[in-house]
Amino acid sequence: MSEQEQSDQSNNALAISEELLEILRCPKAVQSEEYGSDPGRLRLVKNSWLVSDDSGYKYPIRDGIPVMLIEEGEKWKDVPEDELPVPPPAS
Amino acid sequence: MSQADKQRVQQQFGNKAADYAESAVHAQGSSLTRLIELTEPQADWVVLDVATGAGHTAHIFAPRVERVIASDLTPQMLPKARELAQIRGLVNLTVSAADAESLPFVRDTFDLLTCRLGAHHFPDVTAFVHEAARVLKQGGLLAVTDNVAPGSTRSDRKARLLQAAGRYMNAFEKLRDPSHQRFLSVFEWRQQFYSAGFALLHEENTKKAIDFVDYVARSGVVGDDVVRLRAMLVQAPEQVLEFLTPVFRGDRITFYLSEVIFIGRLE
Repeated sequence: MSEQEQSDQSNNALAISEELLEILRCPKAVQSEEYGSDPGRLRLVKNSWLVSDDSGYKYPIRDGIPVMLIEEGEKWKDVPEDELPVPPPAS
Repeated sequence: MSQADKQRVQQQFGNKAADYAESAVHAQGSSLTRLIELTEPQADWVVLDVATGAGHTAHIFAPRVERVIASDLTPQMLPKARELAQIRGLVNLTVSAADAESLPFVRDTFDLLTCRLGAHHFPDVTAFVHEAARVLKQGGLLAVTDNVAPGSTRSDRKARLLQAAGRYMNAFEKLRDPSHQRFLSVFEWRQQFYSAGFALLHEENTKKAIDFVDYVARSGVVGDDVVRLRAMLVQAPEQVLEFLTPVFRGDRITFYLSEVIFIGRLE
């Protein structure tokens, strides 16, 4: 875990539960066979975003609700992680 | 689901979260109780409720299982589902925005997937049922309830009339609710379950009395479209009348929708 992630996660309670994070996947990457046996795993970034290293898609957590829609993840794909806004703006 | 289809659904439901939370049809339908009786939820189950709306199905399962995830395409519906869960002390319920046709979950995760009165909004029911098969554990249950339309698997004249009646009923519903896609026939539902690898364990049909005025008001229909919908009922073809069995009393119309519960087990 990077220093940034450690810092992000130590500030507050997690934006989503660990149990949910464990089973959530990027809905785009999870359909692919390119990324090994468990595609689409997600990293919690800035305690406000779920990032798939497989697809590059980034999903906002708005008001504690992960918005796991492909078009939403695609919208933020090209935004560098350190420029992702906190809190994520309303859609 | 195309972007336009999704936007229609999100517009239809986005500003109606409170209405659906209080809707008698959605909150108190007998199919809620039957879903519990038929699926016999276990204390160690992880359950996914798809198209949860205000969360009525998720709420009734949560006290009986380890964990419930309530998902909906329309993120604006989910705070209401979460708020109602908090009021009821359901700490094992979490929410996530998700597209039923592209579920954001790892495979082999859930013991039960429920979808009550939501599938007629899905443009691609086949994709949904296959996604259900992907995220369910082997032996897991898929419990779907939805209103159905007339139909037939045959190709004779009577079958063609029934299929036309199904199209008529769906056109009626599309005019009432622009986010409507299709009520499938029971034959189509069976095929959906089989083709995705489910054994159909149970199927039961319940007739629900619908008051025409309440029904159109609930989806915000006004003006000429109310007149058109009324005319569509009054002038419906014989096969539609046999299916909906409308009763006309003065200006008042009561008709009957068929809500079917399907329970399948992933083989």
